[in-house]
Amino acid sequence: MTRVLIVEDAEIVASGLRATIEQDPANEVVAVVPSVELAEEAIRSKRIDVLVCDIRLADGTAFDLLKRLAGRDLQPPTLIVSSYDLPQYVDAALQLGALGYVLKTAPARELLAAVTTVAARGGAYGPGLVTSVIKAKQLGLTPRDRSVVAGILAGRTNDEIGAELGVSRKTVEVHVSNMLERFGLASRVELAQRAEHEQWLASPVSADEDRRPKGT
Amino acid sequence: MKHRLAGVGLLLAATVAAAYVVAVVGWGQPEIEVRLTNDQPPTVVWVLPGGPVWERGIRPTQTVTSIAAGTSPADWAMTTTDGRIENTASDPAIQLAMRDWLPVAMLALILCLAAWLAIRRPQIATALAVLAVAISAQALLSADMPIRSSAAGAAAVTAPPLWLWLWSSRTARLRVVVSVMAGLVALVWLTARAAFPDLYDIAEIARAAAIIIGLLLVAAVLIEQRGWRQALLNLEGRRAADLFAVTAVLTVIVVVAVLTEVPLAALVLGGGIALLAYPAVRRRLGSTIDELVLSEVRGRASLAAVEDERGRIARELHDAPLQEVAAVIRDLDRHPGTEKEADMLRQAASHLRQVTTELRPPVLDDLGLPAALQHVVAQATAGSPGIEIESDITPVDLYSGRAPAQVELAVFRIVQEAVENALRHSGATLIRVVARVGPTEVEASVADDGRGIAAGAARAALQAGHLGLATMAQRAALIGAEFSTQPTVPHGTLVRVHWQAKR
Repeated sequence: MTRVLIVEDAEIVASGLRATIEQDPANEVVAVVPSVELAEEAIRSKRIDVLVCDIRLADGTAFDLLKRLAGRDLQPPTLIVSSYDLPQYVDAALQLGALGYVLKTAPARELLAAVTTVAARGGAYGPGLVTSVIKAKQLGLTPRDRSVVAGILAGRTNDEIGAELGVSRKTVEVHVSNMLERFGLASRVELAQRAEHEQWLASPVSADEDRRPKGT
Repeated sequence: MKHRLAGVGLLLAATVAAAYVVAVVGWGQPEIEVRLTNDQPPTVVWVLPGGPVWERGIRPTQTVTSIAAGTSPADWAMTTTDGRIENTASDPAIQLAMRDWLPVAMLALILCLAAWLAIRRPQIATALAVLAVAISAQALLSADMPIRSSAAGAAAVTAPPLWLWLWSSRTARLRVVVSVMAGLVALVWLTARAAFPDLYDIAEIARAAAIIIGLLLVAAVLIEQRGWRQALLNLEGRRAADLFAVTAVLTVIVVVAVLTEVPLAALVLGGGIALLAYPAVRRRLGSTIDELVLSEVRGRASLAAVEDERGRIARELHDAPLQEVAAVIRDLDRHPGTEKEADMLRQAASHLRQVTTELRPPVLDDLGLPAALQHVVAQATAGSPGIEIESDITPVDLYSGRAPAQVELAVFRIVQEAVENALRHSGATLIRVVARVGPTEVEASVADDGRGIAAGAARAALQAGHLGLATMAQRAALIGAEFSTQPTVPHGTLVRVHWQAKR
């Protein structure tokens, strides 16, 4: 039995979500709450297998809730169910440890599949919601790898990429050959084609991401 | 058009005033004045600094030992205790002409002020300017030769930049032209004076021209900077009027006292009488300035009202229809065979999302400025395939503090507008968005390699309220941030906003 907590402040949506999620007899909705405050209370008092959470809540946002839970090491596997398909939301949810992100308007089977996947601690993202950050994570690309790919796609040489990132050409070469090996590619041209085709860098890369100190 | 007419009036009046100043500096003072009393030897009371007499070493307070009058003023000779000179330029006719000119010049100064006041009533300004020109022309024609040549020389060198100024709004170009001319004229003056003593008159005309050009330069810079206007806007209208009136009366008293023999007491009395008429002026001046201030305040208020309204509509769209559509879709889920209807509703929800996001991207409120700026860049990238958009934006950090909401909103709107401008108007191939965002300091810039904003075009757009430049500047002013637009090399525009928390 997967015990689900629904955090959703719009009552009509909350009851709809509950009905959809309970279509799968493996799921049991243990509570439906509208706020960060009540959600935290529910998580403390009940065993929750999956947290299904809207972004905008009665007294804050899902991000506020996740931050509070993370601070106390309480966070259950989390699926964000949102009104918006903006990649910034998806990345922020991911940054705060959420495992999945689907739209409120998604078909029932997509929603149910996401609950199941997240319960098993897997990543579940609605179609079109796989951001470059997620893609990089799925592909096992580090931020530095992404910067290198961005440089290759922009037609820069290893020297130029190195100068841009403040590292030596050698370092860039190591990154490139690691990626070639990992994806079974023969050349940087193939790497560029693959990256472009699969949209590894779906949203623009912030140059700063690479310089960010670890742990922030 | 109205602005141009007012500008013409203002400039003509300013030219008349400048011509007066030149005349005073060049010829207004006698070279030397000697006090003659019955019981004491004559003494020097005034020597024109830098003039020929001055250069002979004659200074005020020296005693005159002899004065020899010749057949013409040029033949005069004077000996003081300190030395001997061959001639003086103490030509009584010139002094007389100057005295005649004084009322005209005063009138011109007053007209200057009046023209500025009437800047919102171009007809009055134009009428005043025509009057000023007529009086000045009359005075010039009846004046003696030195003044006429001075005015003619001044007119000859000031006409081209004036022309440029009036018929091309590119004041930047004007400043260059004026500066170069001032330099050239000053050079001519120095050379002529040093090398050809016979050309003294021409040299003096050149000096007059240099002074006029200098004055115009100052005026151009002042108008360009708009600093005085901002300074005024920071004062409450009537207090600014008081400041103006007192300064004007004091200036007139001092100028008249220095240049004429009217006793100071009489002048102070006159000033007092003038101030009696002040309440009427104060009302007029005060309300004009208040109007300026109010239009600024109204602009800000309407900006805030529009933002509030957009935020409210976005919130309502989110809270009601978007949620209701989602709820209906969830309901349809339990009724097989309704896939088509559910898909149509998903389409509707997608439209609602789009409208809400356009009104005010929800990520701005929920995640902060960096996320919203990323959104702007992503939208621009998706919407304009031919243009490369680079960004260097502080990463989203949900654990760090955030700048005040109105700062985030203002900077977001400024960047959004600047990117939009660059995409739409600049013809750029590369746009670069840079943002450093922290809780106490936010700096953002948008640079493009497009055709740039011509100085004149920017001014015209500001005045007409186009291009969003005025709004951007206003948004920045509202949060107390610096805002600037500048050309980039080799071509393009850089829009920058910088906010810092007050300590």
